[in-house]
Amino acid sequence: MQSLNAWRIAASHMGEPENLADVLSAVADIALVVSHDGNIIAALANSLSAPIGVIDKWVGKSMPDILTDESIMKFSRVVLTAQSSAEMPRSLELNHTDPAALDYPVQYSTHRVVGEDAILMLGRDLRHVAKAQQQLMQAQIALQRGHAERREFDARYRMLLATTRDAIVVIGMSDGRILDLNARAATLLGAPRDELQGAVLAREFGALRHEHFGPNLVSLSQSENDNAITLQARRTGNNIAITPSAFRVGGEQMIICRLDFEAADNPQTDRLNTLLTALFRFGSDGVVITDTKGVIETANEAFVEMVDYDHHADVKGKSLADYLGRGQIDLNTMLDAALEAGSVPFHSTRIKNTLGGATSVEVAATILRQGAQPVVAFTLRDVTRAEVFRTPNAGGAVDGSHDNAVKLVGQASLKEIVAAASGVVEKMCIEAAIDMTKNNRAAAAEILGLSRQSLYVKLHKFGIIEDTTEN
Amino acid sequence: MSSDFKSEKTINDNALDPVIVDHLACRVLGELRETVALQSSQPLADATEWLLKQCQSTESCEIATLTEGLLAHGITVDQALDVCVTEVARSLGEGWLSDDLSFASVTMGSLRLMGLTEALSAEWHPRTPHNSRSLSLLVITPRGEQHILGATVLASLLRRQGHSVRLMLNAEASEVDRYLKQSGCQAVLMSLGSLKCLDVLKEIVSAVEQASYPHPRVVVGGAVILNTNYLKVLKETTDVPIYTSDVENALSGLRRPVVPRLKMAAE
Repeated sequence: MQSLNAWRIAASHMGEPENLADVLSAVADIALVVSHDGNIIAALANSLSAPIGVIDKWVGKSMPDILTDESIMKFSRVVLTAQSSAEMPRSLELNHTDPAALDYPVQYSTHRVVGEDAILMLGRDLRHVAKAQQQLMQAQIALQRGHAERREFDARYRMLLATTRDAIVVIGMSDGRILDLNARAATLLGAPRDELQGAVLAREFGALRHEHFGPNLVSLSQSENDNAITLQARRTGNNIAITPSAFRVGGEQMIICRLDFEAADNPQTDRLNTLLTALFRFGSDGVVITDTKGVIETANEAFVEMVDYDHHADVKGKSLADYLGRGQIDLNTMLDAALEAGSVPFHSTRIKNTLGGATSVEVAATILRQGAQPVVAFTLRDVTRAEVFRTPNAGGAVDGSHDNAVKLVGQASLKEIVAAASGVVEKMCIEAAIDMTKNNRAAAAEILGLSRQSLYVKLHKFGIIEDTTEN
Repeated sequence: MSSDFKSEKTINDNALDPVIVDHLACRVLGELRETVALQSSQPLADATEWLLKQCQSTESCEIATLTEGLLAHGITVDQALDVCVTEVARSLGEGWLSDDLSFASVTMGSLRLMGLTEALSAEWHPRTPHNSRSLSLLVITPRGEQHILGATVLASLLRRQGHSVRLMLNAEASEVDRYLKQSGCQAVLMSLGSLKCLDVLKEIVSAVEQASYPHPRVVVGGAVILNTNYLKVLKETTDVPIYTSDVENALSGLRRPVVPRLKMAAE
């Protein structure tokens, strides 16, 4: 109470309005008195602060004229609060527009002017924060430009590695580990690229130690005559000629090795190969070769037509899941089964095309382990026409469903129909999941988003448990 | 119990024909199959909430830690960029509008999102090679534009879709002109928050129009087109054919053949 009295005494000693203005302009960078209709009645700037725009011309203007769009909305809320009896916001940040400069933020405290339909706004200039933000943003843009240049260079380097006919391996001289290699080199060495990345190259050629291997490569790279050495690759038994070139980067010595396969005379031009190639190219079934994660390495024309692309390069590098009706679930089901059993003879799903349509297909998947890394071959057969013969009343399904609904309505209440239908839906989904996973209940539960326990309960409930046995 | 079925009573006690119910269920399943997203969205929601907290944190924060922490929620890079970053950016903006977040907090948060987007987008994407449907695109924020996160996220999304994208933040018309002469592209996508940079935008549009034939097409998007008054001004003062903030709309617009416009004799 004593302190309140003290403030009253101080206020009375302030006396004239200009004294109050002096105080306000000293404690705030900007002081505004704004009417409830948004007009600026008075505006003051702290003479000790950095000059702010054209504040002396603000009087008589409407606040929205000097604010950015998003700040106009915030200010409108303050006016509404001032007109009600609600508590005024303690802190409010508004962005001011200035035709001659960048927008700048001001942090205001707002106060009702007792007895007047007006608001006193005391502002703290946040231009220093805005300036810091600008500097950070410029730094970020500079970084981004650096990244863009790096990305461009990276893309060129990687495309070069990916497209060159040479098998290339880059190793660090200090430990002999592979820093980078292309797919062609990985094939020659007989292991997936990911597995070879970081491996010691010397070990890929038997019991060689890098301590001997590395210096030999360096001296070989400096030799003027024959600068290749032929060694046998540990994993494939292939004889590989290594041609090294040593260079330095960032203080570290590196060796770039070109690998050449020294082939035996074994031309692969037999009739079967020719016929299989023709079948791949001209066959009516879609054929897709993927890696073991389902990323497409190649696909034939029939598949490209199914998904409605122009060229097989359009699907290369994409996941097969992108085109399957149930996406990753379809793909995982086939990959898991194929990796376990070697092949999946039949999987029914749909293929989505780019126009949003879908084609029913039967898919077979086979693991091929001929190369350095296994691949999965998928054959896809369009069964749209076959379905017409297989499905009773095919073609009239939609009309039939409508008839079904007509027949059901009136036989039972809506609640009973929905309950019965949801029971059937549940059972069909569970049966489909059990079918898809070849009775692997853990996988089926995962696909359905159920716990194994819940799945067992439902299998009992629908009487499916007697017919199935756990894999 | 507030079920819709509360006041209903059984019409009769006859058992339903299972064949008919089967058919109805098939129809239901067919429709569900087309419309219902079956993937759980919980990890994504958790990741987004976590990222928002990190962006608001006053503690220093390494971008690498942010990247690892976000992906540790079991989400994909695509989800992190397309959902988490976008959602958090929106939350930061809303936080400032409601005065729950200060200008400084939003600035720091946005810069963290920028860094995160760059870090996550830096990865080489061999799974999305350039193909016959890919476009060469130039994504721009004109000089003076304060909102640059949207353009960064857009560039990342387009790259992951297999398009070849050059991102040019704070771009001047002369820079765009130089780029178009050197590299060329099929379209220029510009992101704007307001009309503050209208003059620069006009200069850039003019530079694009003067580029060698076929001219790249121009798309303008961003918060500016949500304001009908701004959009009207843009349409009146520039000759931009496509205004959209939807990536798919923009791309399908770009793939449509250009219809030559007939100029009036008086023009």
